Amino acid sequence: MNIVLIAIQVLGVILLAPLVSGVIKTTKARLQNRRGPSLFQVYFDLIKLLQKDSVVSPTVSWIFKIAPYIYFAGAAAAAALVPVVATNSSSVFDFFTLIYLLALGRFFLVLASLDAGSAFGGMGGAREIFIAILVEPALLLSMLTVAFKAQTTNLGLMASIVESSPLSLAYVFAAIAFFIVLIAETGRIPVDNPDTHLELTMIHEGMVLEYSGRNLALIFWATAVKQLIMMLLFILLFLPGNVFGSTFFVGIVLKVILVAVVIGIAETSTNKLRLFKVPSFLAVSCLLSLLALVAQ
Amino acid sequence: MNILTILLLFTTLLLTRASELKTAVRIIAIQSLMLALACTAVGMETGEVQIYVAAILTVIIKAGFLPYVLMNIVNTLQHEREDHPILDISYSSLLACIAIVLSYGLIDQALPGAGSRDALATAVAMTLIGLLLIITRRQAVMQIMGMITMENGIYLVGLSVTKGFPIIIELGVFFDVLVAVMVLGILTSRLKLAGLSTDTSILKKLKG
Amino acid sequence: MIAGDLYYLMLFLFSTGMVSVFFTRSNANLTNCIAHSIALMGSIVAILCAIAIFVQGKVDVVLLVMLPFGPIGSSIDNLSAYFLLILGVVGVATSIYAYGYSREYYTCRLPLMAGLYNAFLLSMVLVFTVGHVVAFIIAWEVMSVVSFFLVNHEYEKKGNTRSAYIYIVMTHLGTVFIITAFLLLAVGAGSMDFSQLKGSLVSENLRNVIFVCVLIGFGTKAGMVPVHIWLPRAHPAAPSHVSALMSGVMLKTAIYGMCRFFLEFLGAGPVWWGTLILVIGIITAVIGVLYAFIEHDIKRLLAYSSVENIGIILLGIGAGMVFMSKQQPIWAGVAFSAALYHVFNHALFKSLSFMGAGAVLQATHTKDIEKLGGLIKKMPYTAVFCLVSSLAIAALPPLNGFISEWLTFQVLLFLPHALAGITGKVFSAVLIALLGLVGALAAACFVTAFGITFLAKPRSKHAKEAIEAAPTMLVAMGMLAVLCIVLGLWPRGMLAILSQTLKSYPGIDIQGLVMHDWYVLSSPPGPSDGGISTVAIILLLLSGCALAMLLHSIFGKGKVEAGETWTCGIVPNYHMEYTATGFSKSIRMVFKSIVHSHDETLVNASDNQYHGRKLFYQVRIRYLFDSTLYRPINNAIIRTAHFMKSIQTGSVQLYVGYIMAVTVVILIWSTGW
Repeated sequence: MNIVLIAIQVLGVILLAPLVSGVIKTTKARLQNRRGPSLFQVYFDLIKLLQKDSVVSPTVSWIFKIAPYIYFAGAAAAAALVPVVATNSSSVFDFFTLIYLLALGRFFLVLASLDAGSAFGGMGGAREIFIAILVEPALLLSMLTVAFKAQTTNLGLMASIVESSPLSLAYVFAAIAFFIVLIAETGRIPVDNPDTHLELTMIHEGMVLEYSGRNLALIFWATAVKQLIMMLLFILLFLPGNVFGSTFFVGIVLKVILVAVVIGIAETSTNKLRLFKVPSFLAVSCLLSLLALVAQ
Repeated sequence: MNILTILLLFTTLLLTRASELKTAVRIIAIQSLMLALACTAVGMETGEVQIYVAAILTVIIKAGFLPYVLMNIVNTLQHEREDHPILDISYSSLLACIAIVLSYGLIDQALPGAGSRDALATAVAMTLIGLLLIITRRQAVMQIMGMITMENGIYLVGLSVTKGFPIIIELGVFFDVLVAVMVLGILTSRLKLAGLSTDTSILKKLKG
Repeated sequence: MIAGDLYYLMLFLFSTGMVSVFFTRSNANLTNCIAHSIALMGSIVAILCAIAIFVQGKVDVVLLVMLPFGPIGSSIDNLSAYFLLILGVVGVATSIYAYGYSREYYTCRLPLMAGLYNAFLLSMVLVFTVGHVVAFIIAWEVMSVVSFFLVNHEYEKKGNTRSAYIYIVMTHLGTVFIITAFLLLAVGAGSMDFSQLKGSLVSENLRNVIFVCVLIGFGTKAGMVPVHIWLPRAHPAAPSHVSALMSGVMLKTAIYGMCRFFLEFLGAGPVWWGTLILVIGIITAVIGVLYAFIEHDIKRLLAYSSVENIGIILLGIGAGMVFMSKQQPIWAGVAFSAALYHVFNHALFKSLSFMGAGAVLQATHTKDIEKLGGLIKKMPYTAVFCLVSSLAIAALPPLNGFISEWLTFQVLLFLPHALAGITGKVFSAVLIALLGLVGALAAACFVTAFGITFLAKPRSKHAKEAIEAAPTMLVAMGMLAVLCIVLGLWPRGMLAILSQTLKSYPGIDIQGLVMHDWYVLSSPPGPSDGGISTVAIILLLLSGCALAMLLHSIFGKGKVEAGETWTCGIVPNYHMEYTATGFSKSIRMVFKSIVHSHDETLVNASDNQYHGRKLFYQVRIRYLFDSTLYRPINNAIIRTAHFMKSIQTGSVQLYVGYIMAVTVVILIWSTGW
């Protein structure tokens, strides 16, 4: 377990996450016949936010103040656990640890949304929790195909097993299932709209409505990092190197861009689902995973 | 002894036909007298003193004191008839006959070739008929009659099988019946004061 | 022998505590101090005794009570010691807590409560340690009765007596099954001693019957679905420190009984035993957490959460039994370790939660979280401890709940080793998915509970006037919170204890778990090599925090202005805050078939149709098992009783007639006519 490599990985993920968001935004814009913002726009936004002062409501408590740090810490810790650079089977890279670290961040963020005492925050938090509840079994199921094959939840081992096995229908099903979960977890259309700021149509944005300035920058950044982590997981588990090109760094970057473009296309081609249709959407994912398990 | 047994059976049958309370009391007195005579007969047979004592006690208490008390009670009551028993008089006589047949059959089955077959059968019959009286009569006094009949039947068993109970048991049994009748007396006088009837079927209202 | 002496000392202390209230009953303060101090000492001795047994090995003690069949001998082995340790730890915390909490009960029969509290601890010690069937049953009954009185302590409050009544009925139903199981086994073994029951010779069918009896009997006490209905009624009714003890330790007496039976007396059985327990476990977990989420009475919520955690423990036990029956000792060891680890964790964080709820209850005199809020500013320390317990229950790293949940997940992942084929895989997959659902729901539930209780503005006068809890209560809660964190960071210590506990049972091999560094927890070696490293988690989190703080101040500190929460221009008040009912609405809708909730909106229109309307929103929940299982049984019993009532007409003649009929029949029958 090379600490330097891990540090480089974490920093790399954190620094490159906004770029991926930029790619998605540009894809969507081009598909909508717009020029769209520059690829690095998210960086500019973050830098701008990091320079701004914050307005904090007097209703809040210390939880509101520490939540962005914990959310960011959770995302950064999870970034260290994705075995991109250091793909060895050290016992640190565990799938459940990753999921639960992200959940830790979400826990505090939802608490913070309740803290300000506004109805928007509460509603956003409630919906976020609702989707998190439904996503969890779908996520676990979609990962199980690979986990059963590899007999472990160690991400490094899972990735190497995927590399060494041929493409099969089971993997395709599991890949589609995981893709659906990816969309739900990162809050993209059709589950949530990350671009609007109408309080009633957004879930994640509604939750962080009370944040401003540097805290908001941290939260945006952490969300982007989380998105990149999920995409990396998707790539490592379901787009293995032996089928889709080389495993090394360049290959991964290309695959990330590819996945980002696909997400953008998916977002543009469909509309946001009503909140109570999301369970059936995720149920499709669960069924596909179960099919993949049976077909294996 | 056998004649006395048959007379006892006869009185018991008569009892089932009595619908006036005074008649019933008189029949009970006669029945107890018969029993005392039977006791005396057994005493003459065995020659033990305590059986004579038991016979005298029976005469005094069961044939003398009890009917006297019961007559007093009946006199204080308003209804001196068993107006509408649960089962018709004729039917209860019929049932009594069936009881007698049943008891004879039972005794033949259980103890074939017993010497005191008649006495035993009469005793069982008297017990059953006593129960029958309690079941089919509404008036409390009539139910006491039934109880006394049962009592007599059991006493008869004791006479015929073991030639008399020990004196302690005799005294205990007498005391038992005495107390029952006393209670009845007190109860009826209370009921008379309150102006209610001794019809036991009104106890049904106490059901939960 | 040290352990034996400590054991006698412990029994002596608890008995003294029980008796002392007679002498101090005139002075409430003195009763409080003395009774709870003695209980505290007893609990400390319990911990020492358990440690002594772990170090020394099994110890045989003889209790000097002469029963008709001789003195009771008990040999306290490692399994008893483990549960004794749990009792001791929770007992210490609740006894310290009870100092401050009992102040509320100075006018409400405090001597009785303090005496019963000691008796409760004593009875649980006996349950864990006796080794004789009859003694066990007596101790079990004493525990049930004492806890009944404790649950019914505040009988003036409406509904408490009914809850206690349902509790005692259900627990006795369970006891019937337990007695049956024990007696069947004892008949087969020819002796009533626990050490002899192992070699009991019973037929295969009888073993199955014993298994079912054990499951139902101990499951009733543990709060297994469908016999859990007493739990959400009884735990809220009891005083908070007693609830903590009940939820933390009394439920575990049932798990202790199950472990004794499955590990020692019955041994490995057919596979369907384990799968049945797995199915029941997951159903229990899902139902428990669903109902917890939609509750808005704090203590009922915690009670349902206990049901959920018992479900998770049952998952571990079931998986262990499956592995045992398929001769996979290593995985059986991991499974039972997962279950027992969760037992300890649950005892810790659930007691902590109940203590927090008790503190809130004492401060605000209401259990309804919809009337609370803003308590984090009035009760800051309580809020911190409640946050720790919420994080632990939600199984988030780096606390202890995460570790036992991780172990359970691993165990379920390896279930297809034992249950071969597609069915095994699909079954295991469904279990894992549902366990994930349970975990997410639990997190959501405690986000709601903590958020609505402590955060934002107070929603009622009571909440506005809350004050911080007494120092002893805070100390007790702090102790348990620290333990939660320690157990989350140091799995090796717990695993060492667990390996000691489980090492002497056939069919279990636990060596693999302990052979690593102090911060590493890993699955057994082999093709798998999964694991977690708590140090890594903590370091990563801390460095992430550091990075965040670095980024935060990369352009200077920045000003922080105060600006009121945006509520469309109106001055915000507590009416605008979100409610717990609203939080759980979406889940109520999705899980409509299980949680039948009737949402009623009552409109109270005023005269003016444009202004001044009030809307009331009410949710009524139809509890699934109450309405589909227990109410029909109740009605059937009442109908049968009505039917039987027709025998009793009140007529004297009829009663004598019954006698006559029976007499005649017996006469005829006996003479053989």
